[in-house]
Amino acid sequence: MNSKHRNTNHTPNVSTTSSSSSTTSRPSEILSQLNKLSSISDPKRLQTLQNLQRTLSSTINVSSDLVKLYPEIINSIVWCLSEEKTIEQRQLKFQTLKYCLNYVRVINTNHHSIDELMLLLPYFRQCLKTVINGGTGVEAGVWLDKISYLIVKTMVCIPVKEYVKELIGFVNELLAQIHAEDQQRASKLRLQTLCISAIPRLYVIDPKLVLNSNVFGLVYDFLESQNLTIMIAALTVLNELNEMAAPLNDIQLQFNHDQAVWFLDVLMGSERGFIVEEVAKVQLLQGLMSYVPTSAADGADADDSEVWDTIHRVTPLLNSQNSAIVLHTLKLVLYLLNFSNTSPSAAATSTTSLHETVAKLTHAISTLLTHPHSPEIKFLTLRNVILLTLSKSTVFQTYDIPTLFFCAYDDPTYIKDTKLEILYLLSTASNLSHMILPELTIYARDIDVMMSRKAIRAIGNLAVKFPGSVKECVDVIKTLVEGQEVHHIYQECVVVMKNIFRRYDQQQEEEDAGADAELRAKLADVLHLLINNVDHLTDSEAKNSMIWIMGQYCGTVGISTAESILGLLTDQFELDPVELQLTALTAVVKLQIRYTQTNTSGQFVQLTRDLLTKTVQSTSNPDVRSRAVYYTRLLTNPTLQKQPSFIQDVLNSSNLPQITQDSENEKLDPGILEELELNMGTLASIYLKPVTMVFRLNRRKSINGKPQAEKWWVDFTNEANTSEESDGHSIISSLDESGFRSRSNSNFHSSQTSFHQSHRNSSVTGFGRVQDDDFRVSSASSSKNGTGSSSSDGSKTAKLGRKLSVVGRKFSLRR
Amino acid sequence: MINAFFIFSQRGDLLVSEIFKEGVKRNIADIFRIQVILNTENKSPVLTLGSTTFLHIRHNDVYLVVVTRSNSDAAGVLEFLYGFKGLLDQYFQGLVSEELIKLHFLMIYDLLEEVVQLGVPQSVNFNQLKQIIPPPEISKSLFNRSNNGSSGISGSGNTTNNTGFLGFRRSSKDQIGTDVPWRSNGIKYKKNEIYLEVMESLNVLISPNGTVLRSFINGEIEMVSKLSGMPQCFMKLHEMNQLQDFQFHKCVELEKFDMEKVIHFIPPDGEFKILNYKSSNDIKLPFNVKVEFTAGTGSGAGRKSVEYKITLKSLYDKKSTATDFLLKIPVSFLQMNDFKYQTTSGDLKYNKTTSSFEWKISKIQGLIENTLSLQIQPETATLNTRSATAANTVRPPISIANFEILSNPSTLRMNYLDVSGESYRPTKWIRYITKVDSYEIRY
Repeated sequence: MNSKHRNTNHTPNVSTTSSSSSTTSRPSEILSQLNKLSSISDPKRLQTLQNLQRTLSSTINVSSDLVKLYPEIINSIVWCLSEEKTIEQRQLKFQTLKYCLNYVRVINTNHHSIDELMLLLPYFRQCLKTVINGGTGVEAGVWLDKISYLIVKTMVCIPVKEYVKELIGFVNELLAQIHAEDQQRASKLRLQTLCISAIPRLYVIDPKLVLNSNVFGLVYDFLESQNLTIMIAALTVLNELNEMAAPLNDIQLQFNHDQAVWFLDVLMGSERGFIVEEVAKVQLLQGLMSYVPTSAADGADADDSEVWDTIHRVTPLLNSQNSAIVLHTLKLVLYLLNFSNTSPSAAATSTTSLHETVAKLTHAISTLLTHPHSPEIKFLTLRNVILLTLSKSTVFQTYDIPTLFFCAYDDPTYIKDTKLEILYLLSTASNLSHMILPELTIYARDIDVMMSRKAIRAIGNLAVKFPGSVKECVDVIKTLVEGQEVHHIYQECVVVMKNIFRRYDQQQEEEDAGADAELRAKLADVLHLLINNVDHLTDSEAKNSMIWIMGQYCGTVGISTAESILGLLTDQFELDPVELQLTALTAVVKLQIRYTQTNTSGQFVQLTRDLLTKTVQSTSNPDVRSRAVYYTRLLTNPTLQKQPSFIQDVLNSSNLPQITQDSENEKLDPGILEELELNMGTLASIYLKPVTMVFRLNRRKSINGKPQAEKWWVDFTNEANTSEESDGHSIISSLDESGFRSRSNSNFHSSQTSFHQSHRNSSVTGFGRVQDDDFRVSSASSSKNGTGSSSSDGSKTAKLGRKLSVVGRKFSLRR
Repeated sequence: MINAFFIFSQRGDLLVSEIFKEGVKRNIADIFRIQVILNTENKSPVLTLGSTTFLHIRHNDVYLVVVTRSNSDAAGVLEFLYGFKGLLDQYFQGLVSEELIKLHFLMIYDLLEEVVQLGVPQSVNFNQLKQIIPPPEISKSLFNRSNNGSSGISGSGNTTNNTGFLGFRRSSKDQIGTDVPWRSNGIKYKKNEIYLEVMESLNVLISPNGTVLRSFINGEIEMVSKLSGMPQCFMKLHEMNQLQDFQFHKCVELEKFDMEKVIHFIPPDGEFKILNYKSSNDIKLPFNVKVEFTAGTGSGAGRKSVEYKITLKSLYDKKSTATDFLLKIPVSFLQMNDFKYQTTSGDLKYNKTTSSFEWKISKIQGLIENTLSLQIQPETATLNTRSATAANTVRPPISIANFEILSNPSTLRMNYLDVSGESYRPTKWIRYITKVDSYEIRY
C-alpha cells in the first residue's frame, strides 16, 4: 500500500507542474478528462481529481470559464460519494467532498442553479444519519467524523430550504447526544464544535427554523458543560449572536455573578489544569462583557467588592503578548469600572484600587504602543488612545504621555497622522508652548507635504482653541511664512490664518478698549507677509481663504492693493469651484462698500462691476448667479443705499457665526462614547463612529443594567487635579455639562467611513467646515448660528469623498 | 467574523483566495487591489468601504488580507494574521515568498480550513497542525532553483497529497486543548540546554539642543529550549518591579506572575520569545552624538556648500565594544553634486536609493571619540530655488541605524532559572545584548 501511495503522490506533481506552467487549462481539456473518469481505475481517478482541483483552485480567479464548469464536474463525480469500501474509494470520496465544498462556495456567489446541489443531498443525508445512529467501530467512527465534518461545512454554505432543514435537524440531534457521551474521540469533538459554530450561520439563513428547534437551549446549557472545548464553542457562538443585529429579535446576553466566576475560573486556568488557548481567552473576556454585577441593581451604596474581585482577577492578562487579549482585558476593566462604587463610604477602599488599576491600564497601552514589530497593532492602539483621550483623558495625564506620541522619521504615514491627532488632543494650555508647539513646528517643515499641511492645520487650530497661546502660534506661523519659499507651507498658513483672523480679530473689534495691541500688531504683521506672495496661491482652499481675507481687510491693506490681489485671484473665475466663486462675490462687494465709505461718488470699483456683471450674465450655477443678482440689487438699490447700517452688516464680522476649536469640536456624544468603549479594539473604535452607522450587520450596544457610578473618571480627575492646574481639563468638565450633540455638528469625523477619508476631516484638519464664511449676510434676519457648520467640506475633500462613494456604490451594486 | 482571506503578491496578483462566509463576492479582491495595493498614498492596514473592511499585513513580498463585513474585533483579526504569518514561516522555514506560495497553495488552503472554522479564527499551533498537514521539504537550493524559473518541485509538492486523507495520520495523541498545545509529548534531548538572550533595543529621540526628548528600551528575552519531557520551568528576574511593562508568551502563567513575580512556564520546544518589556527608567545612552551643520557660505565660485561635523562619543565601559555601527545621514532635502569627507575611523558611503550617507564603523571601543566631517556640494541648478529650503526646512534626523553591544543598558538581570518535574538539570547559557530600534538625532 505504501508503494502505491508514493505512486499516486508522485505522478500528479509532474502533471501539476505542466498545468501551472501553461497557466490556463482549457475547459475542453478538463471535460475530456472528466469523461474518462468513470472508465479508469481508482488510483488514476484520484490523480485526475486532484489535478482538477489544483487547476481549478489556481485559476479560479483568472478564468470564469472554469467556474462555469463546476456544475458539470459535480455531475460527473457525484457517484464517487457512494462507494467507500477500499482505501482508494475513501480517498476518492474525501477528495470529492472537498470538491463539493469548493463548489458550493463558488456557486454561492455566482447564483447558479440548484439542481446539482440537490444531487448531493441524498449522500449527505445518509452520512449524517449514520453519525447520529452511532454504533460503529473506532476507526470507522473517525472516518465518519471526518467526512461529516466536510459535509457540515458544505451544507452551511447552501441556503436552500431542504439543506437547512436537514442540517438543523442534524445539529440538534448531535448536540443533544453530547451529554450522553463521556469519553470522546478528538475527531468527534471537532465535529461537535463545528456544529455549534454553524448555528449563527443557520440562524441568519432561516431564523424561524432555528428558533423552533431546541439548539439555543442546548447551547445555553453547554455554558455549564465540564467539557471546556464545548463550553468555549458555545460561548463563542453566543458572543457572535450578541453582536449581531439579528434577523428576528436581538439576542441579548446577560450573565450573573456565578456565571462570571465560572468564566473567570476557566479563563485564568484554575480549572483542572485545562490550558485555554488564546482565542478562547478572548472569547471568555468577550463573554464577561455581558456580565452584569449583582450590585448594579442596588443603587449608589451597593457593595462593589464583586466588581473589584473580577477586575483584580483579569488584570494579570494585561501582561500578555497577545494584543487581542490585552485590548479585551482593557475593555472589560473599563466596562466594569462603570459599576464601581464611588460614593464616599466606599471611596476609601476603592480609590487606591482605582489608581492601581488605571496605572496598569496606561502601562499596558504604552507597551502596546512601543512594540516595534507590529505597526498594525500600534495603529489600532493609537486609534483607541484617541477614544480614551476623548472619553477619559485623565487616564493619560497621570503619565508622562505626549512624548510617547512624537513621530519618528520612519513611522508609516497612517501612524504619523494618528499621532498628530493625539498630540493635538493632548495639548493643554500648560504643555502647549514648551512641548507640543515646538514638535508641531518640526512636522510643519516635514518633507512630506501632507504631514506638513496637517501640522500647520493643527497649529492653527490650537491657536483657535487656546486664546492664551495664540501669540505663540502666530509667531510660529510667521516664521514659517518668512523662512519658506515652499509653496504648500505658505498656502496652508493662509488657510489657518484666515481662521485666526476670524476668531480673534472680531473679538478685538467688540471689546475695543481691552484690545490686545500686541496681538493686533502681530496679526497685522502676518497679514502683510501673506499678501506678498499671492501669486504662489494655487490651492482652491488657500485661494478661498485669501479672497476672504482680502474682502475683510481691504480697508487695512488699501483698496487698490486689495483690488489687484482679488483681480489676480479671480482671473479664472469661471473655472473656479462654486465655494470660491461665492466667496469672491462677497469679497468684491465688501470692497465696494469700503470704497463707498471713503469715496461718496457712488462709482463702482472696476473689479466689482466686472465680476458681478460677468456672473449675472454668464454663470449657469443658480446659487452663484442668484447671489450675484442679489448683491447687484443690494448695491444699486437707492433706498438701501440710504440705510448704511444694513450694508454695514456685510462688513461687520461679529455677525458671523463664531468659530471655535475648543472642546466642543472634539467631543463625541456621550452615548456614542459609551458605545465605542464597549467596542474597544473593534473596527468601530478605529473610525470612532457608532457601530450601526458603519456596520449594518451589527447591533448597537449599551451598558447592561444601571451603572451606579457613571463617572468614576471624573472623581479620578478631580483627585488627580488637586495638585495640578485644572486649566488643562476643559475637555472633561465640558463633557459633564454638555447635553446631546447632534451628528451633523460633529466636526470630529465625517460620515465617510474610509479611514483615508475620515483622516482628512478629523479634528486636526477639520476646519474646512465653515466654508461659506459670509453667506449669513443674506440671511441676516435669522439669528441662528447653524448655517456655517453644516456646509460642505473643502473642495478637495469633497472630490475625494465623491470618488470613494462612487466606489462604494459600485461595490454595493455588485453585492 | 472573517468573511474571506486572500494572499496577494506585491504586484497585486491573487495567490490564495478563500471565502468563508456568504455575503462576499470573489471580485472583492479587485477592490482591495485597486484601493490598497495600487494606491501609493493610502497604506493604512485597515480600510473600510461600505460595511466591508479589509485588514492586511505585509510579509516579505506578499500581502495577507482578511475581509470582514461586520464590526469585527480588529485586534483579534490582526493577531490571527500574525499567527498565520508565523505559521507560514514555520511551514516554509522562514522563506515565505510569492514563489513558494504558488507552489504550495493547496497546502495553504488546507491550513486555512484548519485554522478558520466557518469564519471564526481558531488557535494556530504549528505543533498540532504539522501532524495533520506535514510541512513541505524545502531546501535552500531547491528554493533557489525554482526561483530561477525552472520548475523543480519534484520533491516538495507531495505534501499536499498526503493531507487529503487526514483521517489516517492522526493518532490518539491529538486531543484538543487538554494537552499542552504548544508542546508535543515525548521530546528527547541527549543534552538538556537552555539558551537565553536578553536583547534590549533602544528608542531614542534627541532634540537639536541635545536634550533627550524620549528614550526607552524595548527589551525581549529570547529563549531556546532544548529540554526533554514536560519540564516545569520557573524564572525570576532581578529588579523586576521597576520594569513594569511586561508582555509574556502564552506559555507563561500570568496569574502566578502577578502574585509571586516569578515566571512559571512549560516552554515550547525550540526558539520562542518568552517575554518582552519596556523600560524607560534611567537609561544610560551608549553614545553621545554632536552634530554641527552649516549651510550657505562656501568655497568656490558662488557655490554654496553644506557641511556636517559629527562627533561621536562612546559612553559605555572601556572593556565593551560596539560592533557593526551604522550612522545614517539622510540628505534627501538637497540635490547632491559631489562630496568630500574625513573620518577618524570607519567608512562613509552614499546610498542612492535612500539618498543618505552611511557611516560604518566595524568596531568602537568604550569611552573614545570619533569624528566625521563631510562637505557636500549641492547641484548648481537647485541652488537658487532650493537653497532657502536647505537652510530652513527641517532636515530628516540623523539616525544610528545599527550597532550591537554585549551588555545591556537597563538593570535587568536574571536571578535564577530552574526546572522541575524532570530529573535532569539543564545547562543554561545567557547573554545580554544592546541593539537599536530607532535612535534619531535632530539637528
